[in-house]
Amino acid sequence: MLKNIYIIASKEIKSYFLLPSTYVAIAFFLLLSGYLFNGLLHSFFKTMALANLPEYDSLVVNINTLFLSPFILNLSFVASIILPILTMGTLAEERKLSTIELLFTSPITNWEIVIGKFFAVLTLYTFLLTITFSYSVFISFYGEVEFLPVFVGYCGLFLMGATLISLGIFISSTTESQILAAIGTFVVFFLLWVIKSIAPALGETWESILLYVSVVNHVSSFSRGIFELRNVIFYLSAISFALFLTRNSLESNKWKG
Amino acid sequence: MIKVQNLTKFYGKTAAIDGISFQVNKGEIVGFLGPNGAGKSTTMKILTCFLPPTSGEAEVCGFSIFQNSMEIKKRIGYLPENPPLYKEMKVRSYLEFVANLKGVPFSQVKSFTNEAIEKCNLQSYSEFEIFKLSKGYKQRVGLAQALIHKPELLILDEPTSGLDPTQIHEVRNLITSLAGKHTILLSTHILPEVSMTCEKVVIINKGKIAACDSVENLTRSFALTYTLKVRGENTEKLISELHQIPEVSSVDLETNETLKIKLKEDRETAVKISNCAFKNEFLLLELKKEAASLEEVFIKLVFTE
Ligand SMILES: Nc1ncnc2c1ncn2[C@@H]1O[C@H](COP(=O)(O)OP(=O)(O)OP(=O)(O)O)[C@@H](O)[C@H]1O
Ligand SMILES: [Mg+2]
Repeated sequence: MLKNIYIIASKEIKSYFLLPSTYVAIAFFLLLSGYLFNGLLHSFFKTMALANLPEYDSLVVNINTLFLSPFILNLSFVASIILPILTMGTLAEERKLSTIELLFTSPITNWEIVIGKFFAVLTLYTFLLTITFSYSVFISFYGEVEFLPVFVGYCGLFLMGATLISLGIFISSTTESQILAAIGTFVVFFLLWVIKSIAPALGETWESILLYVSVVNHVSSFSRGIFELRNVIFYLSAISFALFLTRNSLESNKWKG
Repeated sequence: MIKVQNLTKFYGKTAAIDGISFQVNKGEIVGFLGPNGAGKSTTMKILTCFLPPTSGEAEVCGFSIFQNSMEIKKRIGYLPENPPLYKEMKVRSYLEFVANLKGVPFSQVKSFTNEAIEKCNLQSYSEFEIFKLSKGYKQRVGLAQALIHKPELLILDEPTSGLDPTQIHEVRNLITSLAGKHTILLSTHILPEVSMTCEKVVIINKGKIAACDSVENLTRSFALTYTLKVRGENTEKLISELHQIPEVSSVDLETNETLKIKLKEDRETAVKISNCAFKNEFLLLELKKEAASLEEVFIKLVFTE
């Protein structure tokens, strides 16, 4: 079981680094997160400068609330832009190149295929998150950083990303074209953000429903360093559900034409 | 090794295969013959547990495709019509991946991969990305992935398609060299290939089994018919005298000048037939032995009805 998942995942990760689209995604992620980091840094330094003025004597500059939690929120947005590029080919390409025929006639289960693919993208995503985590280490040279809330924020990013990845893989399993998969996934992720931003305008009941459904919303409290079990449960169940759908999509006959 | 009973597969309303039954025994190399669209690939996809059949039963390596597909998948090597290649990977790492996937123990993956590379003559290409290979070499990588884990049963869907004549020759040699160690079911529409590599053929046409026998039996059974064209008076008498020849089993009058003579066996019977015609003062226009090659058997089974 674990061995097969490992076999699929490690092959997948190796293949990632042979595909140009991966480098595009990584470059885009690093550039955009760097750009946003830089922007936040500027406003942060401005605030710092203000705080040093005598008339703001009592102002305590908190790097966590002022800098790191907005940065984590920004990262959640960047992640939803690049993850469709990483998930688009996961299953669509297998079907198009009929390599799925190899997987389906090998002694591994559909669960192992789906989970192997999921862990491959998740590993790559975690690697990207780790790079940005070094930014927070960097900022700690300029002031007191509480690392526990940052860590909680990254847990949120990790869980949200994992959920988006499982959704992306599911969408990739519904088509033979990775371009269609990318567009579809992108649209879905975009809608999750739209829902989040229009929800407050729709009245209380709708607001709570939509905010609950919007995968990207649950990361907010994590970003403020609040670890809420119900958010973790939300993400874990969303991931399981999406993986379950993907596995069922593999079982269905449309794969076997 | 393979036991197929009444297997049927519908795509929508059309039956790709329609109640086929045949058997492949351990150690045999069996050619699966049929024209385009006959249902060869469909059957192979069912036997490899890729596709579920609409109805019927199939047993592969002693396991049912319905109840024990995992056990079957462990024991078969399969080359699909389109070789399932990850084009961005290098030949060697692709083959190592397949070896792992097929459950070869980690410690043996390297040596199994090397063996497959050697068997398929891929040594000088093992560090090439697959997309850089020519079609024929891709086909070889496809073959290598099918036999990498030394499976009991090899199912090869048109293993020589896309190869040049020397490569075809090599692949045939490869297949014959695998004989004994593996059971092989291979599909093709190249008939000489079957006569050269296979002991047994299953001929399928429009989703139905047209013949299932050894190459020898088939060509022999089909080579026992003569067409005799003669001109003369007493055809009745000629027919009854032809019946006197011990090897003759039946004589049919097709037109008033053409006789179809079926034999039980052929012991220079042609001489006796022509003598018989001369004796009865018939003018011998033509004496022809029918269907002597697999090609003729095939064409006869597939295109005449
Ligand atoms: N996915 C599919 N959907 C609908 N019909 C199909 C599908 N696959 C095959 N068929 C039909 O089933 C029949 C058998 O096809 P199959 O591919 O098994 O033939 P084949 O003997 O392998 O032919 P070839 O020699 O051309 O490879 C054909 O009539 C084909 O059109
Ligand atoms: Mg075919």
